[in-house]
Amino acid sequence: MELFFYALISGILYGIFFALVGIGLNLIFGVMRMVNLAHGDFIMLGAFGAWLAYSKLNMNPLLAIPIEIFIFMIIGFGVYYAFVPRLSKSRDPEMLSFILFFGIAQIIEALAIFAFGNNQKSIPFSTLGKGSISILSQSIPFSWVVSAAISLLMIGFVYYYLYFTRTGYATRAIMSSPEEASSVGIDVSKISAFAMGIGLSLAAIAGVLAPFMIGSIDPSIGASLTTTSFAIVVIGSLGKPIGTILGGIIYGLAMMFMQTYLASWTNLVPYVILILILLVKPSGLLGKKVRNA
Amino acid sequence: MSPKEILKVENVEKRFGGLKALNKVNLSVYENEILGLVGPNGSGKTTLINVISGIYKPDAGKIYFFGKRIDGIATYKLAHLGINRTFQIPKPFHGLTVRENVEVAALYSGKQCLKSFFKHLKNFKFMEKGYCNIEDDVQTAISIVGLDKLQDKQATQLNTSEQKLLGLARALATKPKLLLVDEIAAGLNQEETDKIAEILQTLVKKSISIIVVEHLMHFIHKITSRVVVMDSGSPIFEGTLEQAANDKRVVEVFLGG
Repeated sequence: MELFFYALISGILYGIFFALVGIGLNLIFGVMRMVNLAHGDFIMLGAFGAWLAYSKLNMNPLLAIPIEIFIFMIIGFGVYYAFVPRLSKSRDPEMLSFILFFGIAQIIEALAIFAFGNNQKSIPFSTLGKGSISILSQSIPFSWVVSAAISLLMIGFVYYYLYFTRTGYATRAIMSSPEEASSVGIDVSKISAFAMGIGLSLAAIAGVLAPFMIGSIDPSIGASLTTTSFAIVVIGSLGKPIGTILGGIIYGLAMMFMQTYLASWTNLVPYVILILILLVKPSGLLGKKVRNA
Repeated sequence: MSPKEILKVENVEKRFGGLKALNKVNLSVYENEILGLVGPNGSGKTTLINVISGIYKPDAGKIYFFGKRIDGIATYKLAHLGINRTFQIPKPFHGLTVRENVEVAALYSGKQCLKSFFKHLKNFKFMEKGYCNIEDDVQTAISIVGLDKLQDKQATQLNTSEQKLLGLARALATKPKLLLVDEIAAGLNQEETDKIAEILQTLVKKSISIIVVEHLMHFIHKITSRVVVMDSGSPIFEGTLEQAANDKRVVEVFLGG
């Protein structure tokens, strides 16, 4: 029973973090109908940003968050205006976006190896607060609680943005139908570019927390993070950002229970869940038809 | 005094690959009129609507709106200028209620927002959707089309005729001066069609000019003062519907000679 509670609590904390890992991918998919295969690599860059802040500038890695939001907003606007309008005009935007973002992923990984080398880097957990706290008489590392709290805050921000701001309303209108959105006076490019910036910033923030949640980092973690994010997003519902919370928590619980009871199988979790969901309910647990909607 | 011309289409051409969808189209719309655009399938009616509303860029020719060149201007900017449209197949914004659908349109119509934006900025409420003082516009648009009772429903739960009315309300919330109505009566029953005809007639009294694309002749007959008949991408006739019925070329086009 001890093990069960430990897996439950840590699974929920990890789940909230993984929701943040996936939510940017889902936001970008929802708005642009494009799968950002470089999503995991942006998370990796975010993680290296935190590492640089800690090891080179002697800063608390969390202070990297505001700086990264600023930088990745700019990168998001750049990526959007450089590629997306041209992709949208092509005959098969979805397929071509796969190829394009796969290329971007490869470039980011290569440049990251060039800049940081292939060695694994890590940040001591204690930089987020020493020791552990007791939840239901389980001792949980303080750094996990802090990471989950920051993740929750960021997800709350996405929710607020989408449901309570003017731009958020426009973003949801574009998710539904870009053509009709522009016909009521919405500048679809500008708002999509903004969504791309937010999506990449969220990836970067997940990256800042990654050294504390998934351990040491190196430039090759991007690819597996993309797969994980994709699984989380599909479990929730593709194109519905808030559904990602459910996806993240299911994934976090599944991972932690596997790690507790069948540790050697843990790495299979994202793939098994992905396949199960695609077989049983391809539109995701909260899903409705995305393509025809 | 002749009525004021608000839209002028001059020698507009549009090609899709080898197909000339619009060939030297000339057309005028005057203040406070409903112009009917009729013609067989594939005659270029919807293409012309798409060109005027900025979805397609014309390959040649000019379009003027209140004397200002507008061809090639992005759709969202045209909505700000006062040209709006409804779509053949209505696609309300899903996940939003009926009222929210109309609110989005009012929020982004490009009018009267800036002043109250700064007012709300002082109160730190600038992120909220309420800063535009749009509530009146929204309610007016909803009640013109008669969706008052359904305004808290999810837009996707409406039936086809209600979704078409919602499309109309959304367009009205942007305060258009020219409204392009693309096959709004198709697939509706007599009663629903009559209701829409009535709504369009009230809009003209509010100084909104309308172009109606439609196949249903009794609907066109009821509301339009003037029709333009299109065939293979060009207008072949302009006048009243009665005159059109007696025109040899028009009869040929519709009955295949």
